[in-house]
Amino acid sequence: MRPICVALLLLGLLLLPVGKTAADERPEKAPGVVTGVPGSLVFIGDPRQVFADSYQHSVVEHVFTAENRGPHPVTIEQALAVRGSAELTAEPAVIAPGGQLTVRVRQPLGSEVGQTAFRYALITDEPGVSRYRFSLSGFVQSAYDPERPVFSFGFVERARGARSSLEIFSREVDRLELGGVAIDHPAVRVESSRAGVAEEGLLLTAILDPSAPLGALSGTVTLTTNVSNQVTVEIPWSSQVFGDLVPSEHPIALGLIRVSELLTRDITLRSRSGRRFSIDRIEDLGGGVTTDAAPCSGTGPADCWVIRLVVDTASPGMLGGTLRIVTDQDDETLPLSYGGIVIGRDTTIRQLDLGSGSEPSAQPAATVAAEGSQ
Amino acid sequence: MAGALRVAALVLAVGFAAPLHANESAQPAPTATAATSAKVVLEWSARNEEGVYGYLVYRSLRREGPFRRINLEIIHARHAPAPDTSTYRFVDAEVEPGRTYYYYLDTVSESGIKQRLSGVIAREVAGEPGR
Repeated sequence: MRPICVALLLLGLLLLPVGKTAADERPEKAPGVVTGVPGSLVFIGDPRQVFADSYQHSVVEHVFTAENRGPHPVTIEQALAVRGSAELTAEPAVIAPGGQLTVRVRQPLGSEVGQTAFRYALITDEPGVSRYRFSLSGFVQSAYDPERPVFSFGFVERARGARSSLEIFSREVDRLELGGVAIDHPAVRVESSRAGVAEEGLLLTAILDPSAPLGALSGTVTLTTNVSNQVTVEIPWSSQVFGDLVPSEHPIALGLIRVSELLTRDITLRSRSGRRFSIDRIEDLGGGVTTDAAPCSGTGPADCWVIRLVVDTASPGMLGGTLRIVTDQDDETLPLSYGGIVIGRDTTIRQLDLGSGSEPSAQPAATVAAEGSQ
Repeated sequence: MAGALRVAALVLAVGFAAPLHANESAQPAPTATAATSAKVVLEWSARNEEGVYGYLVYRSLRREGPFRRINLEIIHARHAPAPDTSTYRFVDAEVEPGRTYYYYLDTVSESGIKQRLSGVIAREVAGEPGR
């Protein structure tokens, strides 16, 4: 995969709306270090369990059992989901020598589809002992076609609004019926009609109202249907809404940036109508970049401005935020999103061939930033 | 990957007693007793199943559909090592004599995406309707 594609891929991940935060924000006892100090708890059975084929939005439950084979009581400080969110209950809180611990896991599968794994960890009071890790993995299927429906409005001229349509079917019922529609943004609504040779499916049209605010918008349309195996379908939607002033690029992809390397990126903001305008100021709501703006030519009001972003970072991590471009035009304050990944000065970039997938376009080779010395 | 999946054979067999081989099933001998166990047997074989998690079977009373999935559980891919082929057999016992049924197969990939594997195949179940 070409580096530019990799950068876009990584940036795309960065800019995706974050629906759920990882439950595990607590650092390792010794950050980033697996101590190798043996703990007293030993799982009875494989700590990597497999669940039966399941449908999206169902909940998988499993009980893990461990035994304290050490000479001292062990206190469970925390049982947590390393990835995604899950409900974990560990009992008892203190396990006497020879006693057993039961960890009950309720794992909502959400919109996962395909082979997936959920990882969990136990943190105890044992000095120097790393987390105990355990997992649930399995296959999640969708009862619908397509499996990953999306409403994509693309670049939208605000005054016109936009529409995005898709057909959805389920081969698990004779006729797909809509029980309810929940939408997380007032500027979006959904209309439905029948689809398919026997009208067994649904044609859904999402409509973005001309009143939608400027900038990148995204959310989820949640359907309730008559498919008993999976009554819920979540359809993400996204749009880039602009009025008269349109950026040359959005979201602004800064890609991979090395610590202490100066990165500049120029974005052009142009008036569709050719109207002259001025940029009064630019506010950085993320705090990651400095900015400057100048007319594309000449001085004073112009129909085109260049906005320069300068990134000068001191530490690795994710970089992202929003620029508010305040102009002298009424109702044309533009929010522009930007994002990138700051890597260490000596961090190595390696190519990973993710191999073949069933959908070649969905699983291309990728480049990742490897954790390493800096 | 599913795109490179090769279906070596897809055979529909109709029978009134199990087990049946495809070439034995063309002329079933219906009896009143056997009619209650009318069935359509689908057999297929596949090679190069990399990326394939399993198979889904669909049935309709009309060639143009709509089709409905009839295997409640995914038929898991067996991933026979090359050059061998994996062979599969699915028995549809929810059929009635004297009716024609239409079937097709999907693969479902390891990433959960369904993809059409076969064309629509018709099979008439011998016997008199309602028996």
